[in-house]
Amino acid sequence: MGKFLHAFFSPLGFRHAVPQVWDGFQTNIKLMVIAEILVLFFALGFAIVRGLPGRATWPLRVLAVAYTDFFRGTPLILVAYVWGLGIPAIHAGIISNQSLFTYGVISLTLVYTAYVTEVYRAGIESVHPSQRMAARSLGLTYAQTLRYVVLPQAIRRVVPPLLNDFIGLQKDTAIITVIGVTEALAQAGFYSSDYFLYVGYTVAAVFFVILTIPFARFTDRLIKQRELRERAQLV
Amino acid sequence: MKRVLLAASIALLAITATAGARSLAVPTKQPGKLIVGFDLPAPAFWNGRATGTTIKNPSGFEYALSQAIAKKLGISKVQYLRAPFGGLFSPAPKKFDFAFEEVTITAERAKVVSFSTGYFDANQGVLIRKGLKKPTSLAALKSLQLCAQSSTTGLAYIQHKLRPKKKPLVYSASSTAAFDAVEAGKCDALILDVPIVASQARKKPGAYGGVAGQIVTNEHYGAVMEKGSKLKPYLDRAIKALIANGTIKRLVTKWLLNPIPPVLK
Amino acid sequence: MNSANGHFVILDGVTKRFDELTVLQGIDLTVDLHQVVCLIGSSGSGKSTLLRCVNLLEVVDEGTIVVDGETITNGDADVNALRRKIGIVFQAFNLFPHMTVMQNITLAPRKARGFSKEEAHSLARELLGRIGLLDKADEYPDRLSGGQQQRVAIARALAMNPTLMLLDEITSALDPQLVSEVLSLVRELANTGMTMIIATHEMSFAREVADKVCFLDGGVILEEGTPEQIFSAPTEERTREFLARIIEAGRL
Repeated sequence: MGKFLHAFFSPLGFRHAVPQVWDGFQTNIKLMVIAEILVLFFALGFAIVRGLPGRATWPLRVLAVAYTDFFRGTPLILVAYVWGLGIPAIHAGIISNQSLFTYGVISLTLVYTAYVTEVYRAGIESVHPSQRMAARSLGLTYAQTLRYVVLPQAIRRVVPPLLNDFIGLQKDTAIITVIGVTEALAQAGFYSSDYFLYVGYTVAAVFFVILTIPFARFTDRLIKQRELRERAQLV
Repeated sequence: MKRVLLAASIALLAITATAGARSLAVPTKQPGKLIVGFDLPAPAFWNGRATGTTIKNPSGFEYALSQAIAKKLGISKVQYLRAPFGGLFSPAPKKFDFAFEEVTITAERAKVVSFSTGYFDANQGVLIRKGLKKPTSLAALKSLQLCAQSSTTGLAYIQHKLRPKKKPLVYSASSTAAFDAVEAGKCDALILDVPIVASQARKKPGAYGGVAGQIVTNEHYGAVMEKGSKLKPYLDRAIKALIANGTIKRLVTKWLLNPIPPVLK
Repeated sequence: MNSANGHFVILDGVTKRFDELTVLQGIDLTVDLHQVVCLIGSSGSGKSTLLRCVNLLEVVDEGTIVVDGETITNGDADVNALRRKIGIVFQAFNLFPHMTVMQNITLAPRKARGFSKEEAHSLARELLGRIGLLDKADEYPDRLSGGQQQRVAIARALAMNPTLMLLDEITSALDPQLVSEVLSLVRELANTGMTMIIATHEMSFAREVADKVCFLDGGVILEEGTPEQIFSAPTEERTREFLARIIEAGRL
């Protein structure tokens, strides 16, 4: 037991490990911020495509469904391997010539866009059809209705599940270590091989938790605010 | 007197010109700069701290060798680039000029990358756990619970040459897990490149039973380059020169094998 | 611009089905410019569906509809242009909850008619002034009473300067004491000559304001006539039954 505590929680080890793991954690933060921004935009695009009316857009909708099905079903680690090891090998010009960090961002974005698309879709569908009916009746086009009436309401509603998915994304940046990006988990591994202590992993875990706790609390607060507002309306 | 001075200055000019010409002529990816690939952990081969895509405070056998090679090639700028071991043998173009990652030269690997001439004899070392009676022959190894790291020649040796009674335990990712298994007593002996086990045993003396010996496999470490790299002849020439003048032997003794483990037969 | 017969809206043989259910069966109806037509009948008789066919929220299965000389049921009508000419107000108000009253009213003039922000705002203020809700301009709908919300909904529809207004049971969801303020507004509209088709349960109001009353029963216009004819001397048995029930409930 003492050995376990020493291996994972040695205070001196902590002090040594923190700067090294922090060095790597900054890469996790960069991965996460860039991926989150890309996901927000791409997922909105896919969600809108999924809802397009008419027969002419059917192929687009099928593609969007195929995309979400595929990337929700494929483990992120596989996607990362394909991009980190496979794509460079196919000699496809500029696509094959990016940094491992870029491939990490691409992998995270591909997978999480699929999840967040579904979140947006649920939000859009939760807006009562009478809203769309009222807007179209005023002479607003499909696109104007989406932009001014449906999406503002939809997005407001799905902020909690969006934040939840982003907490997942933040933790999954650690997976990008497998393609050789020097992030927190990699540094923890290097530390452990140099000093024979697993304290580096503990430090990495602490960093991740510190990062996600504010998100979790913020999400809880939003949910509570929404509940209060809805209860007030019933009264 | 004037003639001597003239001759001397012409000679000096010629030397510096050829030195400069030599560095310009060396076909590195970026002219005048050498990009060397590495990966961690690789204690005693690469010491220091990885940061971003490079390494801070580097030292160690392969680091020192890369510096010596740069000097031989007449290149003053050397950049170190982390090149994960898992991606070394993919057909992807390499971002480094050559990589030192304790890679054993094999025919299969040579199909997808170019190797330099060998710079180190890569025998397999036998690291035993504490409390195990030291095996003194290859036959003695057959009855032990062995372990190895995946994708290594050590594992290949166990599976194809040694063929022990019990199936070996295989660890992926890095060597740390394999070393932990020996320390925990989960396996009796780890078969891995001798300098790697030797340096690990030196780092953590109380954790293992020591390096019982080395198994001659007639294998060598080579620098990894892009398949068909034009740098190969230059690199080979530099390595051979460093072997000939004793630099490599000196570096091995300084960083890797001191003392040298006995050969098991 | 009317059609050759002078009617503003013509429904001819309009039939609408939802799966197995036939909601409208061979509806023939005309509405002239400045005319107020009231549709009465039980729930499920097809009043709402009929209104929604006129602004193409529903697509008819059979028959034609002509609005202002244009046949809107032949598949290539400019739906958005049509809807800019027709205002519709719903039972459930359907105000946009994430926008203030002012934004609700100015959204369509700005985006669908290209008004500038200033033009739209002054138009909205004028309308709000006429309905006495100027002080609520920057409030969100959930801070208004039902009657106020419905009046804002009417103003929102009027902001597009429609030539035809469709009112779909706009007082049915209101508390009784809020009904009259909405009906006053509709009365005013009728007095200014707005062409309207009104589906309603408010029989006294229909009697007062309608030029023509149509009784819908089972997807068919069973009887049609002036308010006097329908309310005082209905010829059909079913009409009489319906009116008797209404009178019993004290609503006429």
